[in-house]
Amino acid sequence: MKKALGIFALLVFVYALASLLNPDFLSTYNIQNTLRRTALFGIISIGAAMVIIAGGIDLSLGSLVGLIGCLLPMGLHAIAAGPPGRALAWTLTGTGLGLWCVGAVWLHSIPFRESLRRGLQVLLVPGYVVYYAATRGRDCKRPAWLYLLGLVSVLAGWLLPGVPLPVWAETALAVFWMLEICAAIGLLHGVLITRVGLQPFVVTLCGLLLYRGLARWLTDDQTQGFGTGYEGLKSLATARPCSLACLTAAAGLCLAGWGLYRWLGRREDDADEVASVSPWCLTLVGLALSLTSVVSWLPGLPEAARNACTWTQRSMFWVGLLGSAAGVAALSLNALRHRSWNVLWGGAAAATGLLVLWRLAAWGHVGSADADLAWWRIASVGLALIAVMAGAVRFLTASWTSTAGWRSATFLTASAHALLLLGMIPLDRVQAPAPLLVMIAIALLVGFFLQQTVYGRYLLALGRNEEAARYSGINTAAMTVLAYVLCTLLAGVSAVLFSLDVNGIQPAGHGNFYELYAISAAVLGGCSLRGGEGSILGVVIGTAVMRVLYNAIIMLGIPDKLEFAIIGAVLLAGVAADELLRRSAEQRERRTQS
Amino acid sequence: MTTSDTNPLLEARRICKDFPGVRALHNVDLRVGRGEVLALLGENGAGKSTLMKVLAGILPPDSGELSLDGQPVRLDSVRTAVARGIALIHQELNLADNLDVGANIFLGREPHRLGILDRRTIDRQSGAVLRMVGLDVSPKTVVATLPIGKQQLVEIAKALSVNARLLIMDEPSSSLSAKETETLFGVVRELRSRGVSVIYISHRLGEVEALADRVVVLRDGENAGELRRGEIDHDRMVRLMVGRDIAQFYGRRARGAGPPVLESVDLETPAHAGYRLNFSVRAGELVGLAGLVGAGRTELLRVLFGVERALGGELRIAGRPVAFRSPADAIRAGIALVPEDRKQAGLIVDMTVRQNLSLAALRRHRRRFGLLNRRHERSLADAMIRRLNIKTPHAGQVVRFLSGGNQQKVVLGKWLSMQPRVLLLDEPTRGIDVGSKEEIYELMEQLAADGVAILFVSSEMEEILGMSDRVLVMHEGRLSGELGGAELSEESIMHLATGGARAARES
Repeated sequence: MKKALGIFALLVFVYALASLLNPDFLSTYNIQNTLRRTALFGIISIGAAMVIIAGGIDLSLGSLVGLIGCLLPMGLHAIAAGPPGRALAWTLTGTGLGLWCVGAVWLHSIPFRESLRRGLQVLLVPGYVVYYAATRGRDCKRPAWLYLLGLVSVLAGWLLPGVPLPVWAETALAVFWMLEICAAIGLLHGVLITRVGLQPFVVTLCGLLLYRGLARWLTDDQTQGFGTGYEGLKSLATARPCSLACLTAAAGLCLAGWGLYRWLGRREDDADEVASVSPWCLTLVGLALSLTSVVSWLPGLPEAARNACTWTQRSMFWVGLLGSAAGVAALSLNALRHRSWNVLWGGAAAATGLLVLWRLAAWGHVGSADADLAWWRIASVGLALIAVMAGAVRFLTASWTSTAGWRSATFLTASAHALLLLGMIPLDRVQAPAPLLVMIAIALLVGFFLQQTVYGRYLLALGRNEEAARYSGINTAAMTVLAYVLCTLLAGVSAVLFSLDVNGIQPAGHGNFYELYAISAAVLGGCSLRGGEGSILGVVIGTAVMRVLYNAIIMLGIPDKLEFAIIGAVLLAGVAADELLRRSAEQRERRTQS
Repeated sequence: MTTSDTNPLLEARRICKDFPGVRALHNVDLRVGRGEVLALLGENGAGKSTLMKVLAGILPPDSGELSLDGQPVRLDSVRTAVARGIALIHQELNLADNLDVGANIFLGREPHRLGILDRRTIDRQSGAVLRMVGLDVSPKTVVATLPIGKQQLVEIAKALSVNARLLIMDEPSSSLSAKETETLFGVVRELRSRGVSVIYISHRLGEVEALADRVVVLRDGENAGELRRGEIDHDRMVRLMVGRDIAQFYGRRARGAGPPVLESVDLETPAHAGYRLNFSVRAGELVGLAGLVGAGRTELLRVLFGVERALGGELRIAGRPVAFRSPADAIRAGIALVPEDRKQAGLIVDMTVRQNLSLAALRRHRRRFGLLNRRHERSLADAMIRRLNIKTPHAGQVVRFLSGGNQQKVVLGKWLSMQPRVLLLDEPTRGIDVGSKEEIYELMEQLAADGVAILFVSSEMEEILGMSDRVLVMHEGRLSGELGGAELSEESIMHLATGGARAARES
């Protein structure tokens, strides 16, 4: 939670800076665009985060996006061109073969005096499998079932009569194929890393090259496209089901509900959970969010003019502003009382930086395209920016102490900042893009998986210390494979959405560098490359930071050439700051221990 | 010899040294006379290495004074210490074994002319010191080709060549054969007659009895006592080290044991293929596994726990043959292992106490769809903290910041929650303070009384002797013998551990 706070402060900063320097940043069109891109990159970043948390890495994600982007239109055309029902047959055969192989490999790994001959027997002779499963008992049941299911699917695929399929089923099959391919690739990565013992870096690096090469070869370097039709599929990426205000209202209600649930089922000794926040806090924020979101729909309020602020926006802005001011004041007073110099330094740095920027802006030196770039102006702007950024991050993270009360206060302040940010855009006019809903669903599921299930705990343990996890009875090989498969599956989902997002898919360039963006977002969001650490909330915020930064670069007219440099610099600063903070926190902890 | 009382060579007064969370030394005094062999004893964690590092200039003391020849002195680097004549010979020798003997002796202070090595001076002077320690190898011999015993003598020669007046030797005989140890003793006695003082750190009380003029004992970072020439004997040394009578400390009451729970029939470990191990452990029995470093004890435990697959033979749990492919299988069969390196393989140091305690039991108590059972996790953690008296501010404390003893208790707690049939312990009390040690011994007793079969590896003779019903001794991969009851003694264990053959038993 603490790391998420830090990266959130960074997001606030970048967002505020961008909107100050170019008001177009807050236009409906731009916000929608940024949201869409954040959602698309968010999905793939969550996938990368899963693997990083498990202690590995996946460099092939970008090439995978490219490959899937090329294969999806090809698959759709192949399905449409062939006789009806053939697609279903192919699906069954393909899936069946996959299950057969998985079952066979699994069975083979259960030792029965390993030999190649027996391996071939298992693959070729189903009867042997049944006999073996019957005689060896419990262990072999699951792989034997997989094997038999695969066999049945292959047979069904061969024997199935041609069945006409509705259009939606055809597209569903095509998407299913893509996801299957991704899962198979993830399985391949996992098996190579766990059974053959190769390094994840090497395996996925080879994957990067392989999948790109495959994509280019299969498409003969021709740009792929969906043509006309497939409106249903395209709507997956381009639809705008509801307004952002709806989304925030729903989110607010869920948050309030969660707070209530925790409050009702509270346990006495929750106080020592360092990461927790008081339930009433959550409820309060949730209610504020949902109430301010629906203000525009209250009867009796005049309709806002085209370019004027909507009522929702106004109420959110003011609630956010007042809340932020109160929160910052409260935290500063608390810091003064307890003499937490960290907090005060952070606040002072941020305030000074803001002041400098404001003065410079007033003198017309910042943001004007024709300003001559005298060295002292650049230097002062740069220093002021760094001061504000570092100061804001410091202020929030240092207020996150071990006292539950002040953690709640920090959380409330951060939420007020969020409301303030949201209040700067016309929420009820901005339409939430469909991918955003997909990303939110995925983030909630994966976050839940990591925090609340046994397997998530296993992944975290495995990432931190594989040997100790193995010694505690965790099946580290299976968990590693699971992490890689989930990663590629999520990359596949994002690949499908990416391909629907662009007009033409270029085999040589589609998805280039996406793995770097994904890994950067994960690292910014608090996933340590050592493994075992990370939160999905942080990853999502990290993705948002990167996208907003990219957007800000474009909006501010900074030349394209500098894009990578700036993103790289921000990433480096973020990671370095995180490491330094971690070290100082550890030292503080040690001092309180002895 | 009473040279230490008047005109001591080195005197350390009220040395204190703290590390984060640990008080390594507290007001420790030490006096070394001229030409004296002083043995420094203490259990693991008593502060011996820290004190030696302070004397050798590796660590600065937080407070206290050192004086050499009566003059107060500050040893702020190894160079200063060496310049003043104090040399430390580490347990793991600090030689560059790709270089030759002469180069090692003059490492860091090679005589040269305009940057070109003066080979002749090196050879001449090395030859002289090598003769002094009685090592007749040419200075041009590459160190890697020498056996460990001779390498150690090279280190001593290196110390003498810088005119060391005080030699500190940290467990010098731990990797030596009996013959090489005799040579070493001869060298030490020779040094003593030359007026060089030696501080000798060792766990081998027999050697201390044979060699030392005086014995100083440390316990938990403080002075625990001193013994002079006439007073040095085994029991007194142990009593000072442990703080109470050995019989009381290790109060092992022999109990009737139940049926065999763990049986190994012709088991072959991959590390020492070719040797078949046959033994069994009964329910309620405490079996010690003794042997020198490298005898294959840890490797055996790893095969028993399923970390490595046995090359041959059979393992039976409660009469049923089993084949473990992974630790998960072993855990399902009711075996638990507390590994040697708790930070590496026993715990996840960056997770909390609660998370570590529940790690092995998560699967068993999970809710539908794989959800964590937090209520069970919480109650389990509280129960284990209470039962094992784990000192932690709260259950959400990150394990990294606990002391060694409490970390070991967390590892034990993790396994106790699984109610194992067989508990394997690899050096259970290494690096732990005496208080936690007692608690762990009590726990082992309790578990044995409850019917758990316990097999533990230990390098501390007192622990093996005091806690075991039976002792299995390993030597270079094979089981060289089994001792129980009256024949259990340090000599018999050492005899088997160093490869001596088992004398035919008179029944």
